[in-house]
Amino acid sequence: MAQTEKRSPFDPAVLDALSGLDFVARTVVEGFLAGGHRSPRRGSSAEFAQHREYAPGDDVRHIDWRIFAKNERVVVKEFIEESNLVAHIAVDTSGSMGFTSGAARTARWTKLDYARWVAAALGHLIIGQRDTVSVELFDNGPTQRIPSGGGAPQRASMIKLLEGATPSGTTDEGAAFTELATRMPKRGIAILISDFLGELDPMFAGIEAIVARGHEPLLLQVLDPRELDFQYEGYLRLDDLEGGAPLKIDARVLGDAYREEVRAHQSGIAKRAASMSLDFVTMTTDCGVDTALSAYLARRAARAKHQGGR
Amino acid sequence: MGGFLNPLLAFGVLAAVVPLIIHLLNRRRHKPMDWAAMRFARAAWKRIRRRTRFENLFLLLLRMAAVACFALALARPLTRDGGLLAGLSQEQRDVYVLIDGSASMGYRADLESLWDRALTSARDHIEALDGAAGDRVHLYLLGDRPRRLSDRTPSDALSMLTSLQEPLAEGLDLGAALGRVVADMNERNLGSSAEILLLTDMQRANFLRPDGSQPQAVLEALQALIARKAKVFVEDVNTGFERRPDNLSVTLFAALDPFGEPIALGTSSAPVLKDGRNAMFVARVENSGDQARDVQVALLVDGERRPSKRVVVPALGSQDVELELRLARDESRTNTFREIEVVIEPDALGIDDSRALVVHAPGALSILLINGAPSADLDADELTYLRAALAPLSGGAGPSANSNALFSVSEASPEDSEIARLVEGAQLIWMANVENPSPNLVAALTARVRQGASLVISVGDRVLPETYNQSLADLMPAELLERRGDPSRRSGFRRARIDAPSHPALAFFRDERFELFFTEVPIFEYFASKSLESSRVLASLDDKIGTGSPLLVERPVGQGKVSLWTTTIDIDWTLFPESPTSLIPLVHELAFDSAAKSGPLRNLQVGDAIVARFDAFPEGASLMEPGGAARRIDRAAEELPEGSLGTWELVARDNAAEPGIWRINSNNAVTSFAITMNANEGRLERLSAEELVGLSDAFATGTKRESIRSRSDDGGELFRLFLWLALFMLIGESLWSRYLNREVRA
Repeated sequence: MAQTEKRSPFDPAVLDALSGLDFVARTVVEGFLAGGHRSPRRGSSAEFAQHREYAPGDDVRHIDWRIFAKNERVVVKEFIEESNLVAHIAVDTSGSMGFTSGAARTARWTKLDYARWVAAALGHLIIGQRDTVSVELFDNGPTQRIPSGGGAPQRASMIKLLEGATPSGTTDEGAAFTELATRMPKRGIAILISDFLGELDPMFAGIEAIVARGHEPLLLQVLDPRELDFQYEGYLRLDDLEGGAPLKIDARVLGDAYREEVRAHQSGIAKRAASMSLDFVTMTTDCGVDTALSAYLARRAARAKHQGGR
Repeated sequence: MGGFLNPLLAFGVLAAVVPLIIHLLNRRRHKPMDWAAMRFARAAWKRIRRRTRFENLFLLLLRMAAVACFALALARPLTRDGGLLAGLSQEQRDVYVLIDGSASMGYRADLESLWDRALTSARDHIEALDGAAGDRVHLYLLGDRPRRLSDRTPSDALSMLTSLQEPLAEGLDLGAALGRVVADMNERNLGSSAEILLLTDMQRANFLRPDGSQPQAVLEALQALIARKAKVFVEDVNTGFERRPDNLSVTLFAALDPFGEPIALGTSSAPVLKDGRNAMFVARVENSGDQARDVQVALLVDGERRPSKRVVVPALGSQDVELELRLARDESRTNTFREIEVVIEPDALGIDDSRALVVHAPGALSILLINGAPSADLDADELTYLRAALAPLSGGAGPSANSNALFSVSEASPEDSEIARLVEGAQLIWMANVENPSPNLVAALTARVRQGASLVISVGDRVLPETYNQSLADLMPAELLERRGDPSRRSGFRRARIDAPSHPALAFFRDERFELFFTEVPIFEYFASKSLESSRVLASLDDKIGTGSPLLVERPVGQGKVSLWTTTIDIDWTLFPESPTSLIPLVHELAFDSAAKSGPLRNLQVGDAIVARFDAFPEGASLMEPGGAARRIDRAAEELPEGSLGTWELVARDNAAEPGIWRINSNNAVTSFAITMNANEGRLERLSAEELVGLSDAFATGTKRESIRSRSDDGGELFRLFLWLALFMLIGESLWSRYLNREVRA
């Protein structure tokens, strides 16, 4: 029956003003395209990197004959190698990601909905650069995965996977990230999209495992605005979305203490991420995906330019 | 605490649980909500839980305490002396101010009457109270019954005082007054904290009976007050006057019967004054002073002064004054009632210087005699004796020739063609020994009697019982049976017995001196009869059959009545007519009784309702008080049921408050009423302070107000304390709530 038929969360009609994933992704990734990336390895691209003394075994085609003619020194030219970017996108699908307070402009958006948009937009961008993307779904461990790949087939697979994601299970970011690190064979960017509400120590233990594998983790935190400000009144019974015991509270008196707890948690994440030179971005579901991503990517591009690229 | 003024309201303390219930209900109503960041919520809740519980508990306690304090304030708790809370209590005063409003308070020995003094004193007492401190005044005006004027604030009582103009024309029922105070104190749970102040002229009769004992109601009320440790402070507003103030009062005024006895009121609407004849009245003047007084006593008839008498009234005694009055017949008068008033010279107490009476002077009574056995021989004629009995005592050319005659007598035979017209014009019809009343006669008699006339049927040898029982069935008071007796008069005779001595027709024979004239006259023959249920046997015969066969029996028919005399009215069957002292009083009293009007009484007491009856609707009726003030009667007259005397009844005043003549003016006619007051009020002998205190421990005297302030065993009230506490709790609750909200929002 038409009324009970499950509809795709990416259905433009369901997703309010955003009419299509591709469109949104294209809009979002414009800033990202402005960045580009270089491989730290020297290769055979047209862009010169440096000279070095000739060593036996070097390709004689790389000997700089003009230097030899002037100085009778045998040096070889080295070139910057432009490699393919490998991005590993991991999306938290635990029960807590199913929360929505209704405060967002698009009232029915859960945190998972928002995370899917972010993941899809970034995946679309990266594939569009002819780079490769792998996508992982996790809660207290990886649940579903599509291996690294590129091109239109990979994009379709990625969309399909994200469409099928539903919030369930409990979160254990630490365990999940540790296991994800082992599933990322090729060094690249690890884009971790979660609400990051778990304990900090195990969470960062997992992140450090990813870093140890040579990946660059990018922490994208998706929260509902009410989770930050707790603007509620009256007596409430909070039912844990991840199956814990409910809690009866007086929202009027709990608000301050709750906000203090959240502030401390957010501050802790930010500090630890900074100490590891990681990007930590908090996005709230009342802010448009394009706006949030564009702002971050522009900031990232500017920083990359300032540092002169890598 | 020493109890509550409003004990039932103390249960309101239970309302203190209402905030708790609301709190618990709110706790039960937690709105469910899915939540993701449970870790932070749990941590925050764990951190603040203890403090929040304390804050909420404190808030809840403030609310509960506010409700409880408010409920306690409403219940008006009292403290006991020496109790922990005694120092916090506030003594609220409940003062009962009882003003003697009896007629004697109108005594005016100088410019100011005792009533004025009482009002001034009451005002002084009340003004000394503090309404803002919760003092209450229970102001009563005392008369035949206590009237509560105010039981609220002193200012309310003061405004009521200003509305009091004159004392009442009543006596003082001290027992009823004190009983009312006791009942009110019981109702309010007041003990000795109540102050009772009686402002009175100390009239002895108010405290003691003539035999020196106290009225039972006063004793009981005083006992109740003693049990409550309450005292009645009696303030004598008559200080400075002698024990027996000079006062002359008219304590009795009545018409006298032929034997010189006062005619009792109440049996008919008014004593019948035989118009055109001399009538005697008696007025009793009492002197309550220590000195003999001579005084002029005068009669007023319809407001016109008549010759008076001067008499000497002994000290502390009384003097009866007989006054003769002859009312000239005035055919132009339509009002057959006359206003007679006796007055003496005015003195310090004016209200008892006159007394009034309304009497009925119906004029010559129209009597029709229907002779069933006429004869040229006077000895054989049926009406010879009756005719003589009804003839004017002064003689003259005929029964109705004298203009001052009591009766206007005419005769007719049963077959007279004009009989219906003659019957219609008669007030009393006497049908004597008529053999067979024609249907025409029966119809005329029936109609006339129903209109209000009286019919007397006397029997004789021509009467056939069956015929009478049949044709006069609607009129006969009794069923005639058989003729009895001994025509030869050898085997003895029967005597009469009076069965209804209170009946006006037999009033003359009520006196034992004259009773024999009725009971010892031989009756040789008579008709045995059986009285109807609706009839009343006035006299019967000693014929030893049952209770005696009726001799005179009366039956009301419509607005009139029919009397049956079961023997002859001549001397054929009885010697009754041969005895003038028997026949004349009987016939005359029967005739006057037929003229007496029943219906609402014309001579009333103060406090009685003034009720009048009219044949025509009393359009625009007004009531004139003794002082001359006339007011339109707003109340509508009510139609009377058929067969009543009159067609409309009008209640002009529920409560006649002033003695004297009251008049209802309606349809160009005047209906008069005489209102008299309690004769005791003129007896001004006073009770001394020593005597008063000796009567009961509950009485106290003095002139300074401080002396009536009884110490409170019940302590004071905590009303205001609890009200303030409730207020503080509410303010505290408000501030605490505000603080908590601010803390949350900060």
